[in-house]
Amino acid sequence: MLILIATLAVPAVLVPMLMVLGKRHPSIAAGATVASLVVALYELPFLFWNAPTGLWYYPQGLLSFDGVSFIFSATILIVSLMVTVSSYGMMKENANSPIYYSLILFTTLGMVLVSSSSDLLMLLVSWELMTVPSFVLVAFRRKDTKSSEAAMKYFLAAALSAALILFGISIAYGLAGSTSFQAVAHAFAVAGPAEFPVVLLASALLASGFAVKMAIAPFHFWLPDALEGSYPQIAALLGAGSKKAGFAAALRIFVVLLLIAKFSTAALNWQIALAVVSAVTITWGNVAALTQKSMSRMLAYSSIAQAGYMMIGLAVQGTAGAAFGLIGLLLHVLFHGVMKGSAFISTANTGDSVEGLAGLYRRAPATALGLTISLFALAGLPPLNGFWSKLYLFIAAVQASMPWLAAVALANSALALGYYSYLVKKMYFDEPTQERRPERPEVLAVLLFSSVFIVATGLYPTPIINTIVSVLSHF
Amino acid sequence: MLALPAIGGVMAYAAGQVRPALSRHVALFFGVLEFFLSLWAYYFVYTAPQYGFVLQENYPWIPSLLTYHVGLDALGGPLVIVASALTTLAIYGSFGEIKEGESFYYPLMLLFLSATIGVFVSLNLILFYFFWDASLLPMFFFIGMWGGPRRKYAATKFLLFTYGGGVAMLLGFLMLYFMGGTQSFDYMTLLNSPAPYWLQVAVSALTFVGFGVKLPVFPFHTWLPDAHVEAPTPISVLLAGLLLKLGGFGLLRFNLQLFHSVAAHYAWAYMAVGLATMFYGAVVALRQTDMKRMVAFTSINHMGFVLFGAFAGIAVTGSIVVGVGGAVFQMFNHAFAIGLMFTLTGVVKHAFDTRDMTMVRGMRYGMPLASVALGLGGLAAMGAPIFSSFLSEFLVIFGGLLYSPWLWFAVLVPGITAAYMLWMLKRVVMSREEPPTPHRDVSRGYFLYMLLFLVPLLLLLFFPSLLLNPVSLFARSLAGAP
Repeated sequence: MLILIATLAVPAVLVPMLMVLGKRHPSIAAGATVASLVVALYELPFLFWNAPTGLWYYPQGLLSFDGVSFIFSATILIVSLMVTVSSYGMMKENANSPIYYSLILFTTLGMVLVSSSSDLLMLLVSWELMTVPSFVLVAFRRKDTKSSEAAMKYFLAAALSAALILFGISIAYGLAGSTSFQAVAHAFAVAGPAEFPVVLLASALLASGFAVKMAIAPFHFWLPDALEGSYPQIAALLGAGSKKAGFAAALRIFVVLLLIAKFSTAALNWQIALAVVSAVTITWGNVAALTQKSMSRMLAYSSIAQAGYMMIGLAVQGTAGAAFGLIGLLLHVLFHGVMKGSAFISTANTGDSVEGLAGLYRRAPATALGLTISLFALAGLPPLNGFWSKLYLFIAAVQASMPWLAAVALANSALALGYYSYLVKKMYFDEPTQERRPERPEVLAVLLFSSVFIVATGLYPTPIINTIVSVLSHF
Repeated sequence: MLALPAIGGVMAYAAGQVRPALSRHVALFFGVLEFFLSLWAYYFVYTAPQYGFVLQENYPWIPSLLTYHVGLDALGGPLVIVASALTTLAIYGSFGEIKEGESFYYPLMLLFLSATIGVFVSLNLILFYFFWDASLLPMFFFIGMWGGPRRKYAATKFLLFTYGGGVAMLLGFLMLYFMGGTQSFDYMTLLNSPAPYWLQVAVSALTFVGFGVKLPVFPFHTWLPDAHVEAPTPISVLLAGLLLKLGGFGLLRFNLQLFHSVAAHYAWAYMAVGLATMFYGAVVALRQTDMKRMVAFTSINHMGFVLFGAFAGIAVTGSIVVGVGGAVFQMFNHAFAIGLMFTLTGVVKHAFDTRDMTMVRGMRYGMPLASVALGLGGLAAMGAPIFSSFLSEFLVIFGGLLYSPWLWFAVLVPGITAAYMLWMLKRVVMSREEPPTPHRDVSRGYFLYMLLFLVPLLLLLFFPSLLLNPVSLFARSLAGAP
């Protein structure tokens, strides 16, 4: 674990020093960042297979690297890699580019740590490590008022989230006398009826804190504003990457704490509550996305809806659908990270206006193809990978005796196809209204990677599914 | 066999990047190859001594969820031939029609063929859904990119209608998996261990929505005329000839074969919808002035026959061979007859610059070859006894009469169809030419190309047993089932 942290942290500290080199620094900084992310990605499997711990087992330490951390960290690193590579052209002229890359590395490190924390305080510290650099990244366009406004909104939402989490942690500590997950879970499990409201309050506070980051309705309001104001690449990092860290944390709290605490027997059916939240989030995100005029806002709302789909995976824990739900959740985390990341990044080539997409097929054929593949994957159409992860989640919902949830989710797929196909219609069927612009080659490289990934895992997802299954069974 | 068109698609794309015109020849080559392959596969179906799936392949794909289980039976066999033959004809027909974006068009065409054949041979429900949805996207682009003035509306409407239907179907499949007691998506397993009756009713209602949109049945049909009118000619051929068959195939495969006890019990409901669709299609077609719209409604009318015949067959034990056989036969005939009619509307549009039947006059003067083709196509589409479409309509109506003699009025539908087809011929071909304009007739090669559509219809008029023998085995297997 320390090696992984060092791989990301050392370059993050060193890269800003490259500024002293003067004009030659941008490519060195970018190269160092990419190299460190690639090495970190390469380290993950070794780290996982050598880790002495299993999925639901926590040592007394602060960090443990298990199957869930493995999938989340891989997703986060892949998204960060896509973001870094696609930022190269945009940042080449910017004198502060080493800072930019360094911040990306720091926030990535924060996300990786969130997904492998096994202690509430460690979780909070990693959470801040993830969040604080991303404020700066959102505000990176200093002269742009939209960017500043976005950063301010994001900051307020994140501060609220951190406050809620901290409050939840303090109550949990009061109950358990320790902040390790194991101790807290144990304290929750033995809590008597008198302590039940306190347990409930702590869980609810933690859940709400994570929900802000995950952009679950009704805590989703900040996401469209923040993503609209930032660079497309940073929108990708937030919308596709750091939301996932929220899920990693939520998975631990909901699944581990609540399951161990046998919460479902304690007069509260939290599965149903989560299922309702999931259904509301899916519907809200999709309906709001229908009328958006800005690409980043539409994608942000779609990302809210996708978070709702992932919630299905949380809601079925502790029921017959748990296995399928967990596979579906992790599968969707990985697939959604790639496809939403590439959709956001492609707006770097297309511009932010939905109307401006008109005739993109003639203006920028490669970007149009890559964006189309990402969009149809988001819609869950076969033969693309989004189909499989959603299928797993739907199956989990039916298995968990919540066919209504599957029906809502399925109906929403049809609704979502409405706006995705509207974008595709704009790109392919409408006449171009703008001049042909050169397509950024580094964006195309990222789109090439994501398109190949989406189609390949859409046709043959078996290796990934097998990996997830074996990772989960590695107790 | 499945992968071949997809590989061809990739190669056609690569060829198109080198030289746009090259991709069409690559596509045509793969289409012809696939056609002979499907004939070869059908030979196994034809020679099988009893009903069953031949050429089965079963590989695990995704553990506990999906196996790549495919096989060909008497229901899928003829349709696979239809798929490869029509796609090949449509590829050839596109040579003069599609002027831009060729390197994108022909690969999509082969992708569509792959997906369609995939639907016809899948023996796993998830695999079936996978191919089912995969066939939507190429069609969406075909209509939207190479279509007429209202193509964007038509393409989006098409996509949303059919996807909505597909979602209902998927929900039905999931319910079957979990509440059916088998925990299996494999078709053979499901066929051998029927689900509880109430579940069969629920799931067949859901799948009926999915397949009904595709077929299309009244009142889910509204996407079809729009899609047809806007689609370019070769795509109309595929849309009517192939896409609608997916719906018919699904109904027979699932609603009839898998849920046969429900089908037998509720046959009256299916037949009522079928009759309504028949009459609706015929009567509305009567009122059309746009030739292509008229042909599109003829499609709706003919697909009503499929529904009506198949479920009339299952309801009465004695008529199962007649009804179901007629339905499959009708699907086969319809594909070629309507394909020819759509090709001809393209010819008319090209020559007269309009498809309005009140404007086009005296076609026989300037375009004798096209007029002959239109005459023959009209006869094929109305079910005149010189083509095998006569046989299939006769079988279907005979099956209906076996169900109840009170259904005699179904005979009116071919009557109406004949009436508007002949009226069309009278107006377009037989009328006086005013003002006389020098129209360019179709070339001899194109005339021969159009006659190719009629070859299977003539062949099956004289040798209907080529198709009906295996299909009747299929039908008997339904009758033998409880």
